[in-house]
Amino acid sequence: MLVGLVANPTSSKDIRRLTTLARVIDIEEKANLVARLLVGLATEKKIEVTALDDRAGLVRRAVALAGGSGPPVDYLPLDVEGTESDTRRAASALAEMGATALVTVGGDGTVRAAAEGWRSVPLVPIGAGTNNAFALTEEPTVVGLAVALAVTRGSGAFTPTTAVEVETTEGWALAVIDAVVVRSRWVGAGAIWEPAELVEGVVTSSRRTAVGIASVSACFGPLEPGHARHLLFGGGRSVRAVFGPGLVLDIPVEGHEDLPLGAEVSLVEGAGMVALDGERRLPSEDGVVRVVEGPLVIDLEKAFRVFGPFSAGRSEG
Amino acid sequence: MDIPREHLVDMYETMVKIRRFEERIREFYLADKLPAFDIAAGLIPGEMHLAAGQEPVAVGMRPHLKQGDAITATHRPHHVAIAQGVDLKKMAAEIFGRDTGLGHGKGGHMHLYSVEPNFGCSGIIGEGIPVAVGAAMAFRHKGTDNVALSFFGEGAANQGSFHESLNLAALWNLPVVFVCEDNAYAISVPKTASTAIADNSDRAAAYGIPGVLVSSNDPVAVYEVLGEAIARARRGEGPSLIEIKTDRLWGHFEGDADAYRTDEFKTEMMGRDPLSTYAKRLTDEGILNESDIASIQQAMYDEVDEALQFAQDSPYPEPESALEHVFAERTVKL
Repeated sequence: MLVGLVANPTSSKDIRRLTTLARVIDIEEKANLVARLLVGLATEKKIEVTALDDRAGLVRRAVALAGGSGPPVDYLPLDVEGTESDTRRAASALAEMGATALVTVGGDGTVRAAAEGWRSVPLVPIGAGTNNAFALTEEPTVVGLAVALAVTRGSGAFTPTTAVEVETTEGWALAVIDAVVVRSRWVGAGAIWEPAELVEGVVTSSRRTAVGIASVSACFGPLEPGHARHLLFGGGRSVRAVFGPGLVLDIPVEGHEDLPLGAEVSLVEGAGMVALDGERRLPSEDGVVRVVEGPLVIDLEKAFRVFGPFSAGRSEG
Repeated sequence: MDIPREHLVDMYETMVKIRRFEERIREFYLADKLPAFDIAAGLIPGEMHLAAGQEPVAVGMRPHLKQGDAITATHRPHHVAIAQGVDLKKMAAEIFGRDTGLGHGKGGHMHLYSVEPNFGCSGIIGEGIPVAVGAAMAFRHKGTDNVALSFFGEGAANQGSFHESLNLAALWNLPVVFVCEDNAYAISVPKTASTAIADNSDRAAAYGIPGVLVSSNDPVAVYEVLGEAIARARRGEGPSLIEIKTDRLWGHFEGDADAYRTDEFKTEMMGRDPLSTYAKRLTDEGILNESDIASIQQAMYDEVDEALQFAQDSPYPEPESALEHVFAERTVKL
């Protein structure tokens, strides 16, 4: 059973180290997380891992650290550029190879790039980013064990999510948490951290415990599954949200509307750029945002309940 | 944040000026040293380390600086000095070894020193890092809100002076921004062969200061990050380490066969020349049109040519002045 692995050495090192209380999650820390994951995965002998051979050699370090306690690990024959295209191409390649799950180690941006490369990817997103609005924060050894159970004993531990598709004159892109129009016209350092910049957004999450735009959305109540929320920023009324690590802000929200799967929103004319999962990416000209099916994500509790060593029965297929 | 048009254009103008300066210096430098490379021959004897491709790292700081800020740099200093606004004529004259130069012609290309703006550089790897910490200490003592910036390469980040400087700056919460220009090669040594970890920004944690990785050679990204780092330091919130992945388009030194980098690597690198990519973005955004680009080029080329002409027309220092400017002149009261 093939499990894919993409670890991002660049996540959690951007300008938000200066504009929020977020800290760098260094390469050694990530290698350590991956090593612990590998030990968990190796509990099922049938599992083999194919990984992106990242620019920092972090997976190689993890493999060395896990030693004999890890599963066999192979590397994708990709030209590594050290950009998010590595994640996207790796995810596509792993889809073609028939991987049963893709473990990412990184932030929301890493997850986003993986989902762009493999639309229906069964994701195991280990959090090593700034907000980790999408990612799992449980102990990676436990996550590895859950994945091992889920992929070898049957399906059903992965739940569907909602994503948003953005189409502008510059191209197409996917966001797993939010697509937000900001006033800036430059990609620059990528991150957004000033509420005054926000124009409008479509967000797929309203988890109370999430950080970022999802935290803003949470102020307006839970989202129905398969729905996204359209937010219009500005105006006199504000909501208090955890906009980033250590950053609690009052965000002015003029209006909100819940959108079902397939719904489309035409973006405000001439506003600026669309930021995808917290990073400025595309000019917003003629931009359309569509609510679509997103990647699958592992449900750890379900994996243990249904497939775990003490589960009542074992289901196949 | 919305970036003022004048900042965007100013960064481009400065990048053009830097590139033109480096190209012309290169012409002068090599002209009378070939065919057999004689490093002592010609108008500019000695070594020459040019910063073509590294312009974004230097120009991003410009609008955030204020008078009195101190900057230190390396053996590859021209882009930083030009970005800080060091007098171009005196800088050119210094490189040409003339008496009108910043150091009366006695320092040369790697020892440019300017009082206003306060700029210094050195050929010793990692030398400028503690000097910037010292400047930051002085600002703290004087009670000003000036900041110091130290530019150094990824090779220098393995020197003791780097580690000592970050430790002290963190301990005393000094207003200094450490800027690591990562061009992936320390002369011919690739970073993977010299450094235990892949990203120097990771090292900030060891000193309890914030680290940031700017992974693209983009003046706007540098502008935003250095803007925050400098503002933070001015507010008294202490030092930070900013690592910027950049491209050294030419060899380590002029005359370097640069055979340790593959043709494929070099072609790919040239393909992302920051001068062209930034110009294209400015025109795509309607900030500048073709005619603006042409006028900027002309203006910058003229300024560079004027500086180089000044240098060539300037006299050499008199041999009798060899021992002047070596020691500080003082009267000692016994």
